[in-house]
Parts: sequence; C-alpha cells; structure tokens
Amino acid sequence: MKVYTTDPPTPERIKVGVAEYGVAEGESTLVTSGLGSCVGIALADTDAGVGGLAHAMLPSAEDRTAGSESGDGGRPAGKYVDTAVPDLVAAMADRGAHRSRIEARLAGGSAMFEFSSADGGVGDRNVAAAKAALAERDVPVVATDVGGDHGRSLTLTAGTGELSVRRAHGDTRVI
Amino acid sequence: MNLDVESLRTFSDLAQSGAEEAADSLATLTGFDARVAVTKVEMSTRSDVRRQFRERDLVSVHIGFSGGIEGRTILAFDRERAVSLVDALVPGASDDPDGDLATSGLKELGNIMLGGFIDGWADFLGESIDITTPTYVELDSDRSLEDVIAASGDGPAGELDPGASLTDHRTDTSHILAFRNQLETVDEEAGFYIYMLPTRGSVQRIVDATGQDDGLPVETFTSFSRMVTEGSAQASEDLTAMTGIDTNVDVSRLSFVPIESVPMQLTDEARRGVVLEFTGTPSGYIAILFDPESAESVADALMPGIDADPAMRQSAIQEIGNIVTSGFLDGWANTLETTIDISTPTYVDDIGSAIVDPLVTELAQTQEYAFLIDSAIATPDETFTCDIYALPDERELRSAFEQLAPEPN
Repeated sequence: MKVYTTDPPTPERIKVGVAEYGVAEGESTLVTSGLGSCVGIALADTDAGVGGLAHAMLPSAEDRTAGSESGDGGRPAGKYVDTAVPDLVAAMADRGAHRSRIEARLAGGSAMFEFSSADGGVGDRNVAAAKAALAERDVPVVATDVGGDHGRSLTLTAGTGELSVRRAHGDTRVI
Repeated sequence: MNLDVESLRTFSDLAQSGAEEAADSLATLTGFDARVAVTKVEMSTRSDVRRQFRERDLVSVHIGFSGGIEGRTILAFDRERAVSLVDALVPGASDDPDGDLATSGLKELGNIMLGGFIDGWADFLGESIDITTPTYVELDSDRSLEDVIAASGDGPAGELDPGASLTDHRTDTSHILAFRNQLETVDEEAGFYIYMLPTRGSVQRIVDATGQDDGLPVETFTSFSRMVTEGSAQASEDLTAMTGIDTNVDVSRLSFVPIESVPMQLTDEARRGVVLEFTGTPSGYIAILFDPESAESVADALMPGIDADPAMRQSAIQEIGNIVTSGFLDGWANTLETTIDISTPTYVDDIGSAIVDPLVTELAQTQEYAFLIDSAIATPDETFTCDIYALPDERELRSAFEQLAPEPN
C-alpha cells in the first residue's frame, strides 16, 4: 500500500542536520553530511515507500558523564541513538510505515583520531547502540558501512531504502 | 555587567526559537519550507560584523525594535536568489528582479521574518516589543550598516567594552554581542542570515531575566575574545614567516553555540590539514584546515623548487599545523597564566564537517554548548586560506575565566 494514491508529491531533497532525524516518502531523498564518529541510521519500509534517516552523536542520553550540569531539556531527540531510533520509527509509522516491515542500514561510526584524553571508541559504541536499539524493536539491519578512519556523507532514497555512502573525493558506495 | 554560561544558553535558545519562528513565517507566507542551519551568539567587533556582510555580497532589510528590549535586527540575503521567494507575497515581483515591486516584496519578507524572530524573544520576556518599518539596504552601503552597528539615536548596539558606551569611545575593535542565525530553504535556493544587535542595556535585561547572579564580568569574555584575535595574528605572522607569503587574519571570532551545530559550520567539501589535542586549563581540540588547492600552495611555498612526493607534502602540512597551533595557543597560556600542552598533529584529508565531528562528539559527552573559536588566515592574493577551529572544554574554559576575572569588591 502506498501512503499516497493520487497526486504524489514532487521528490524533495531533505537535509538532516547533526542530532536530527527526518522522514520522507517515495522518490524523495534524505541527506546528511559529515559523519565521523556519529552514526547514520537509515530505515525504510519499501512497501509503504516511507524512509527515515537519523544523524546521532552519542549512544545514549544516560551515557553523559556525571558532572554535565543541566538536563537535556529541549535538546533534540535525534542527538542520542537510544532516543533517535524509537522516535524515528514512530515518525515513520505516522506516515504509513509498518513497524514489522522496516529494515535498517547503518553507516558512520568511524574512529578518525586517537585522543589521549578520550575514553575512545565513541564511533564503535554508537554503532553497537544502534544495533541494540534496532534489535529491541525487531528491525533487521540489512547492510552496514561502518568503522574505519574516514568520514562519510549519506543520501537515502526514502521509497527504496537505498543508501548511498560517499567518502571524501567522491568515492561512493550504495548499500 | 556580568554574563554567565546560563545566560549564554538562554541567549542561544532564544535566538534559536526566534529563528524557528522566522522560518515558520517564511514557510506560511511563501510556501517555501526553511530550516535553521546555524544559531550563534557571537562576541564580535564591529569590523568583523561589517566584513561578514561585505564578503558575502549581501543586501539586507533592517528593522529596529523597542519596548521590552531595544536594538536592531537585520535580515541579510543574496537578492537574486531571495527574489524568487517573494512572488508569493507580491505576485509578479520576480518578473523584474531589480524593480521596485521586488524591493517592496523583499521588505515585506523582512518584516514578516524579523517580526517572527522578535516575537520569540518577546514571548520569553513576557513583554511586548514594537518593531519599526523595514529599511532596505543596498550592497556597499557602509553608512547604513554603520547606523545599525555603531551609534544611533536609540543607543549603541550592545557595547560590551567598559566605557565604550560613552559617546565617542566606539572603535572598530570594541566588542558587541551579536546573535547570528543562518536559515536555508529546503531546496537550498535561498539562504538568509538574521543578525540581532541588542543595546547593552537590553543585554543586561535578558541576563537579569535569567535570574543568575554568579556570572563573570563581561570584560572577561571580551578580553578572551581579544586574546583569540591576538592568537590569530600570531598564527598569521608565523605562517608568513614560514611560507614567505604575506597573510592577514580575515576572521577571528568567539561564539557560543549548541554543540551539535559545530560540524555544520563546515561543508561536505574535502579539507586537508591537521587535528591536535591540547591539554591544560583549558584542554580541547583544534583543527587547522586548508582547501585542497590551498594545501598544495602551502606545501609548494614551504618547499620551493622541490618536486615533493605526497609524503613530503603531508609532513609539510603537519609542520605548518604545528606552528600555527603554537602561535594560536601560546597567547592563551600567557594570558590565562597556565600551561597548555599540544599533542602531535594528526594529518587528515577528509570531508570538512566529518573532520570536526569526532572532536565535537568527544566534548558532547560532557557539554551541550560549546565555545567555538574560528579564524581564517588568508593571503591577499588568494594563494591560500587557512581555517582554524578551536574547541576548548567549556567547563575548563569557564574555570580559566574565573581565574582571569578580577576579584569581586
């Protein structure tokens, strides 16, 4: 079933910023730039032709070190993997996606630098958190392009779930 | 006047919600969806603000406001691109993009967007704010811009330096608190910049409204901002000394931003350079980046007449990164009376925004807002441009500020 039966909207190109997520339909694309250790979570229900893309920075809102003073009131849900995934799934369901048909693709979560002060591996932890949050909702991960030491930019075609992963200097891979 | 991080957060949230109102107003009236790409609270000098307009070749619509708070707001845009949006307001306006009808459409657009922006602030303060009729300001109209940035009948724009609000002490290097938002339409056909320059008294009113009384004197922030400017000048001198090419500091600014917006300061384009970590009070990260052509030019300048292989070029860039970072940070350590150690530079050649992303992600684990320092050093003949982004740990920088602040009487 398509969400729209007549007068499909013209394909749009929707930008998803850091700590944001977006939902689109049909031939519309969702794009996000500059994933380093951040993780891109691309979901799609191809039968409904609804896709969603999140650009999450950190694994969990609870992960924040004690000592960061104020709460996270008003900050975008897309910032954390564990809040971005349920919100994105819900937003897609609102647009006609069926939870049981949603498939996921993951990209990003690289380790570009080794910092002495960092406890390291935010990229790995982001990917692990995304897999866990998706498994919890029985959303299968059908393809990944994660890790490594380079950045990525993503373009998701909403209706097909096709995720184009671009590296610097134009090297592109579709998963 | 005292400023504290809580007030800066409030300012940032206010500017963000004001900009969202402006984007909504634009979408409602023209049917073009817009999003807020960047929200910044900047501690700028007047010459910095002026330069930002000139470099981007922007025209603008100016609106004054008074009531709960006073000051000026500016909607700046590329006329050619924005004119396509005003047909919805003034049908047929884009048939003659340079005509009076188009200009009045643009003024109306400014009125609507800036009105929405100010509404967001009025809601927070719980007071009404009146706005004046919009004025359209052409390119290169320094005088009109000066009216906004410098002294005007309703008081100076957000002067932060002590004494500067007393009539004729205003200079190009005195600081103002400016709020800068960048909005873009979804299809990226048009971009808008909203600037808001409140008067000093109005800055104080908002600080008071946040109910914090443990702030640091505003001079602490301006002296840090000055220190950043000096660091940029030193880095520029060092670059010149190394390459033998004259360089100038094009941009040097201190801003306070939601941390997730930092990578969006950069684009998808490839950048080459180095990333370093600094430790001490404060600790943090620094990225020294060149566009690919600039990187080549810098490497050539360091090794004149040598047919250098990629490895040699890479180590030349690393060396430059080292020198520029030292020049940039040494002044901080002196002023803050502390030691700042610098790590070995890591060479990077990647998507610009992705280079900054891991630095931001590290800091985001303990902070929601960031002090972002960004500088651009360029050669007058455009041989190369060097961008510097520094991200000190917010709490450590704040404690460094506290040490810097004069003892309360």
